[in-house]
Amino acid sequence: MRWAFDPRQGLIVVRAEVFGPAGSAVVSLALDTGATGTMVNHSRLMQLGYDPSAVPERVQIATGSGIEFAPRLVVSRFASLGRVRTAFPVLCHTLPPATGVDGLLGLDFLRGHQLLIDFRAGSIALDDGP
Amino acid sequence: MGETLTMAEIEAQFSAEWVLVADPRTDDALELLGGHVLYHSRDRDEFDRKVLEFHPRRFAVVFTGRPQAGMEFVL
Repeated sequence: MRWAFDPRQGLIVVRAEVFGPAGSAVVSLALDTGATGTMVNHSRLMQLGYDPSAVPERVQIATGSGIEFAPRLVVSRFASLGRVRTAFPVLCHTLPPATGVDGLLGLDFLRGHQLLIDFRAGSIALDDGP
Repeated sequence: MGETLTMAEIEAQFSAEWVLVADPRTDDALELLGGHVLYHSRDRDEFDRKVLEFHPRRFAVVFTGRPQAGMEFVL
């Protein structure tokens, strides 16, 4: 299956559904092959019943502007690009509003698959590969 | 709870805003087709604070704006 995006401008925005104790949220994430970890907005995780402030694990994240620390918690279920992960770890960090997205879909979600980004057709495929 | 709107109606009524949609209708690609608008704001920080007062079982968050002209993203 192929997933559409706007190839002419901006970030590659994909949809994801994140599940938690309080329900589920459909959010927009930027597909980011420069990010090793998937990241979700702090408030969105709070809405889903998680408490990032109570998570003991803080990991260093290297950004373009320096090193920051962010909680990493495990969401019960995470779906995007036709793939579903259970017990999937996500970084809890909020990107600037100007990005227009609620986080990043990182390499940890993509590993083990074949990712095809077609900038002519504006489509993404995440397959099992040959 | 607000009235059910289509995505086109949401984009028309809440231009360049962050919108909390309850009971979202989505397609196989999780693209939002419509739902009940519970809250909206142009200010994402305010939006993030206020949406914690709502407790829909399934919801979607959508930003109806476009990338700011001339801005580059290096995430």
